[in-house]
Amino acid sequence: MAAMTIGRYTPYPSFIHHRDPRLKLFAMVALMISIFLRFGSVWTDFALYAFIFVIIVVMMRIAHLRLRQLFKQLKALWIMLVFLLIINILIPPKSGVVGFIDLWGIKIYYASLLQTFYIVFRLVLMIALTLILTATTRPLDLTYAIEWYLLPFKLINFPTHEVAMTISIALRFIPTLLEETMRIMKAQASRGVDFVGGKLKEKMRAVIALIVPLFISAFQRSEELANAMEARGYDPSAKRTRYRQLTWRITDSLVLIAMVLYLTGFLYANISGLTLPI
Amino acid sequence: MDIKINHLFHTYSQKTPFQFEALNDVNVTIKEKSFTAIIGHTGSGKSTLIQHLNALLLPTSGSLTVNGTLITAKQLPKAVKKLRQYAGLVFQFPEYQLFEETVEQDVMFGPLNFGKTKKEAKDAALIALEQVGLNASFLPRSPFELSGGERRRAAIAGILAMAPKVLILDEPTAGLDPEGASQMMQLFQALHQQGLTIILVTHDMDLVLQYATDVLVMANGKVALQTNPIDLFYGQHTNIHVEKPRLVAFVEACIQKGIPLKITDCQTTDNVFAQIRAWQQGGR
Repeated sequence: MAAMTIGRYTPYPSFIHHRDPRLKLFAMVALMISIFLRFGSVWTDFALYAFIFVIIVVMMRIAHLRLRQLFKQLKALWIMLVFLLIINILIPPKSGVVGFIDLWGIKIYYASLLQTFYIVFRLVLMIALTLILTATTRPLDLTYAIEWYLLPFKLINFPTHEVAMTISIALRFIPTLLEETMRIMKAQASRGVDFVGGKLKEKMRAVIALIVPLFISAFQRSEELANAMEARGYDPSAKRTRYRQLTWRITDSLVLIAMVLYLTGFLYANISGLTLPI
Repeated sequence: MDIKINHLFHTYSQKTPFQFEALNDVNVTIKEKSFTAIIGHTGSGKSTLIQHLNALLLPTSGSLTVNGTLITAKQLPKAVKKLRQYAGLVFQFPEYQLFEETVEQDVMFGPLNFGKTKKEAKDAALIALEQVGLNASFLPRSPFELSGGERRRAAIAGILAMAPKVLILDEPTAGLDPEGASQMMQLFQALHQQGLTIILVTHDMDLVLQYATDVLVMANGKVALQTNPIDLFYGQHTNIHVEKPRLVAFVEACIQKGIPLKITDCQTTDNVFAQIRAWQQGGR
């Protein structure tokens, strides 16, 4: 149950926490792009993955996040990773690929193993990035940042405010629904439901006993919220001011420049097919 | 068997910025077959305490013994199912735990989980629903088409059908109309008379005075006082601030006016009126 709190915003006075959410969103996208680029040789790719990983570890250190938290998050994903591995092994690579291990008549190509490694590395790095973003940024600040980036779309009558409001309500209710989940789990555990052990059939019943009340209370909450908003005269198209203002500092500009340089560096290396002499 | 709580500590979200010490060295014995009320301000640790009684929460340190089962920080006791059947916990707003298609199936859910046969569970459901005042016509209905009060009753029946020996209730009357609340409390009193241990978390001091035999006052994660309702409301406790029940205010006013009421027999309105009537007839 404690695993649910991973990635939740934790207020520390760190350098990363204090950065503008718009900057953090940009930095995350830049880092993600760098993860998905491929370079001249396999070894170059992995060397640069290691480089990105070091950056991420340093960022986690600054943000008061422990590597252990990242691995806890990954534990939930290992089934997916095994699944990926199997799929990659079963799909034969392009013709002309050489090198395979013969395992009881099944050809396991080195290329498929390599492909799996790529996916695993990318997944780990991406999860680490989102972990840093959500643990250091208040959900509401994040919505403001998203709304800010969506501003240009207002020109083509895209309902930016409504989208931002929907996102912020969704984010706002994540902890509430988690709390509700815990509450219902405890109530059903008191009625003898075993959420940990038990046979498959029992487990399915346990899940039903959790999901049905959860959905009902979620629908009820949304209805109540909608009524409360209407009662207070909420009008989505009205011009709104807000209590919290985003403030852009000089440090933010400096980090932004560094991130732009980082991204251009990676893009250039990608286009020029950089090959490190390893 | 008494419930013994020994140096119980509980800390939420330990080693994070959200760390919160909910229970801080609780030492208390809850007597078997007592009707114990647990009172205290919001955040005083009442709900945390009762969730330890059926091992939904494990202590951060310390231990407690319920029905001979030792609950410690290390791991869930092996007899956890037996424990949860022995100590039935009714959460606040239990109507949110209903999920089955019919009221009958929902009430049967608990007994079936604890290994009863379909037949036994069906019988238990019928009896439990009758106890809470829902007749057989409710059996095939969907829990979601009932009124709020009826849903609450159905949910409580779901716990009663498990035949617990200890019934733990977190604000069972919150949000009910006065009549429904009074019926509910009378049910708990009847169960208490049948030999169940009742543990009631409440903010309603009138209920504490009228029904409880023991009171635990919680404050800041500690047990500030363990006593009986008469002593709590009529005695002198300078360090504890409780809102006096309406009846206590009335009795104190009577005594000031010179009506000699025996305080030890002032737990219910009926008792007080009987005393006043006796005084009226005998005194003049």
